[in-house]
Amino acid sequence: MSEWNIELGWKLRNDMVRIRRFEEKAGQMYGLRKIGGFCHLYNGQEAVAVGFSSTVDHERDYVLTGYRDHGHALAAGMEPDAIMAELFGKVTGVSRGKGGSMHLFDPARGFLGGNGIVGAQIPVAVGVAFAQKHRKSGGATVVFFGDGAIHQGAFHEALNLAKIWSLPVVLVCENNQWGMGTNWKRVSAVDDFSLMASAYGVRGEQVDGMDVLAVKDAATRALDDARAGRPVLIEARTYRYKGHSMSDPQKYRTRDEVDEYRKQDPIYLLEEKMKAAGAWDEERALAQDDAADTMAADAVAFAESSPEPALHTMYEDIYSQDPFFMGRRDGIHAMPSRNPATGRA
Amino acid sequence: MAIMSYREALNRAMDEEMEHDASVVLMGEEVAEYDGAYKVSRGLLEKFGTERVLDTPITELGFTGLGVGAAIAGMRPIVEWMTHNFALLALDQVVNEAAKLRHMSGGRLSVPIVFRGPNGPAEYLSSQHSQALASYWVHVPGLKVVAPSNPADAYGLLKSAIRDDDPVVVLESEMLYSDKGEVPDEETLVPIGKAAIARAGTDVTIVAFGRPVKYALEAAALLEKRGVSAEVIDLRSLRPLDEGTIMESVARTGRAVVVDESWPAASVGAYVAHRIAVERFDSLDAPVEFVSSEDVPMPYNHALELAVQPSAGKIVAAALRALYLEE
Amino acid sequence: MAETIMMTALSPTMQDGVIAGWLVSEGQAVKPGDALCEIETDKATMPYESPRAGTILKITALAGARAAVGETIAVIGKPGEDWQSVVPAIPAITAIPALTAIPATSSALPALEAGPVPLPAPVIAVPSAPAAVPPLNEPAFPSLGPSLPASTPPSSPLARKLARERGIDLRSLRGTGPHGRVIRRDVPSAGSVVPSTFGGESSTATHADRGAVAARTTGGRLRGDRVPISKMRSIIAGRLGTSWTQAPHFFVRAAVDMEKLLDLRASVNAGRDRPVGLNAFVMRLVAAALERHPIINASWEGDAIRYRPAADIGLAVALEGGLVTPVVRACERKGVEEIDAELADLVARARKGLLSPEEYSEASFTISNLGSSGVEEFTAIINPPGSAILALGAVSKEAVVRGDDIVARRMMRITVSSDHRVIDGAAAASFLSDLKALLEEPARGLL
Repeated sequence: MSEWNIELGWKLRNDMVRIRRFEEKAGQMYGLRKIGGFCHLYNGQEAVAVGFSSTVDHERDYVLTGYRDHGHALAAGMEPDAIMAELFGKVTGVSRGKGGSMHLFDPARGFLGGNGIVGAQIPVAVGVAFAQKHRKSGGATVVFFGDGAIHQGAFHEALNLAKIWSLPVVLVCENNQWGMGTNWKRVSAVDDFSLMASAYGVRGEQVDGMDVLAVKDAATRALDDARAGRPVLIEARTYRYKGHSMSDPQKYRTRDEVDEYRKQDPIYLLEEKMKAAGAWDEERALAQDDAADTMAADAVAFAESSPEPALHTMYEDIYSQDPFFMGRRDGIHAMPSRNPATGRA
Repeated sequence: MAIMSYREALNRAMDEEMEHDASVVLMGEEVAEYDGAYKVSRGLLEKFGTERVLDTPITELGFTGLGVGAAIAGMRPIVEWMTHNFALLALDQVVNEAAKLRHMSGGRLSVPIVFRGPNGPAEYLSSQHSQALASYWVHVPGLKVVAPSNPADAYGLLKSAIRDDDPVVVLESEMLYSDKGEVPDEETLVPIGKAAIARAGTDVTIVAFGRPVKYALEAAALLEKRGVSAEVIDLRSLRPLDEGTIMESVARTGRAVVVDESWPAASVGAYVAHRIAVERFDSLDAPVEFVSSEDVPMPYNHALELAVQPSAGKIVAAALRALYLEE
Repeated sequence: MAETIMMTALSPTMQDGVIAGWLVSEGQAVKPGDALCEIETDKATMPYESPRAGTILKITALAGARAAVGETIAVIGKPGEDWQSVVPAIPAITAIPALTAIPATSSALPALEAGPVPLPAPVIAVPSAPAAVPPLNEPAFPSLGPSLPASTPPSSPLARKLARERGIDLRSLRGTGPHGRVIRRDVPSAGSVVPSTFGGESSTATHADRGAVAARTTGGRLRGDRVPISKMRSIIAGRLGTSWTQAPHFFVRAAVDMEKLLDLRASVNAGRDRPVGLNAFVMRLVAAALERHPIINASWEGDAIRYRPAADIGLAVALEGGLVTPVVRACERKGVEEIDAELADLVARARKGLLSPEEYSEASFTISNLGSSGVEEFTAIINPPGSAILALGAVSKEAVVRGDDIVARRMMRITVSSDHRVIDGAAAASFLSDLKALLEEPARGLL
């Protein structure tokens, strides 16, 4: 607990609470059919994203993740309003309503998505690290993926490339123990994913993903290694409270199992530590909670009141210049494309 | 005008662009120390060093994805696939990542990357190494696809591809690498999205791309001896497709023969034929003819493999059908 | 100085015309007023008269070609002058090489010079005369018009487009493509003969046969044959089809006692070499009725109704292969005799296909008389731009009640078809009533 100090504790708590509240709101909005399609909630895993983001240098580092990306996007500092608007499919969303829940991006904050293909972001992240190394930017890349993705060839090919080219990348397997409805132990040759690093001569480390302080420590060590050209694999053992996605009935696990993990809830665990350190302030905690509630409510209000994208925007954001199309733009070819002043419709 | 091979023209394009722009790197299997499986990258390692010319492990998915990541982080990678057959292992990274990142991010990301390598039939290579896979890429919005048929276009199109801010797939041909042709001495870009009239004619339009353009030109010469003036359009770019040039020609000739060395179903040629049928319905005097590969995997036996592919003879026959001059 | 001879509008509505045949040839000297060619228009074939003296340097629109008004059809000038100085770019359609069949093997194809039409020459489907006539197994039905095939043959889109542009009915063409597909080479271009499926009949219209257009539509018809529609048939179909579908027709009928009119006509004709026709009387009386009912003498123009200044009355005249309605202008100002003389001339020339368009267009009212065919009564389709047409049945003796007696009277059934957009029922009834009265008491109308 070398990094421990009270203000950091309050900051980490606040970041986790904000994610929790946002996800609860998103789940509610999904139930109200304001959000459609796949919506993968991060409840329970907040310590991983928050522990890392408190260490990541958002000026020069990059973060990539899979489709369970709301928490990482918030942790990277992206605006809740624009994220919620994206979930609502509105033109004010971070991806102009083109991406949805799984595809949140903010290159300015080093957040490169938001990827829907299991494990596909890993080689991409290694390529981002390649560019960092090539430009000698001093930055590193952190890529998150799940216990399902680690068995993809993409992971293994990418880890090998990261090693042979000494790339500044940290691969973080968020083992929430369920690859959709399949328990991770049923489909893994090893019961400790950090062991997989040894196959590529890379340092592997396992960390309690419910303990935000432990995650932060591991992240700090890993980023130090990465910046020195030594890629690292981290397994963060965690748990998701919600189904794989909103449409998951969760028949594969018991209520008791979920309740058991709730006792290790990352926010609760941090609060216990703060109380033990004599740093607890109930009023401040309530104020954080209220602010997070307001943030989530405001995000929904913003998303609700935002306009739908105009139909012609379907032809935009596909090519760098005025797009080329193979087919016709039926009926709407005469619409204006972008506002030259804002670059947006 | 210098006479150089298609291979040398590609090499020159990469050489010049790497010289111009330090963010251009070349990676792939055997591209560095081996000078390229087909020697397209000969001398580049020596000139630009190991940081810019990189031998990769045999991991198409991995290094293609790595290239995509480098591109969104500001570089201009050239990813060489030893052949497009092997690129199928990287399909996900091209289709789901390179082609989609700009779109999914609402325009926030740019993917300036070139994927290149030989496509289409070679010789004596059987089914896994002798395939024309253009439609795999052309199908996908977000990608651009070019198919140079001669050294000058190979040079000019690859240069444009490297400078392009979007992912560009370059379809080369092993069977064209040694073909020689004139390439301008001065630096020249061939624009992406513009077809060329490889030969002007008035009676029938032959549309082809890549290596079959050669057959189309041979066919045009044979047709001329029979009093038929064939126009040959070299598409050069498959996505975007230069429909204007095609349609203008067919409006004049009233007959079209589309040539594609791919399998017929869901192919570029089938799409071009469809577009002609729709856009030039009132100009057509005959159904659009389509000369494609036979709908079979490539056999090893040489006589069989030649019979599978489009040829000048098949194109002539198709043109004569379109002209109602069939024997 | 050479100059172009352009297609001119030979009728108020003409947009284009087909060169039925040239009466002069290249190199021939002509005087002003000489007939240069025959132009097939709406309902007639008209001679095109030379506007000046000179030598025909070049014929640019060959027989069979359709030319729009204003389009060059020939060049006239001094002998030896360069016609191309006037028409530098002659359309490709004029440069048709001699027709040659395509040899069975394409290796024997003639090498073609570069030129506007470098393709092997089109083969025009002109059946060689007698061989193409199917054997006559049954007598033809002379009462039936030329029987057109019900469906069009398969054809290429381009052939359809060319046929459309050149005013050729695809059904008249024989396809030489696969499955009998009509393709480009099957569509006669300007300069080639108009194909015909009539066995044995030359389809080239020449000055020697001014009635060729009409004759072609009926001559040699055979059951089961496919017969191209003539220009006239096409016009009739178009005009009457449009009238019937666009003008809401309604009909009012009356039985007219013709005793007085027939007696009057008999007394007028007594001692005349050429008797005055009944139609002339009716026409004059109709004009009198129209004067009292200007609402009937009107044209529907979409956003307005045009009331016609004069009773320009057309009379439907049956021709072989169609009909035409020569118009006697301003009947209200003409006497019966004058009307009759005009009618006689118009009808005679109509039967020869020699009417000029202004002589058969723009009737404000039309009369159709099928009485001579024994038709008791019938309804006619309005002949635009008129808004009403009068159908006359046969005159026959009927038993009618006069006072308390049943007497035999020569009666005629008449029916007025009206365009309800212009004429309401009451107006038509009123007109009919007055017309009946005038026909029954002709003296009132002829004064």
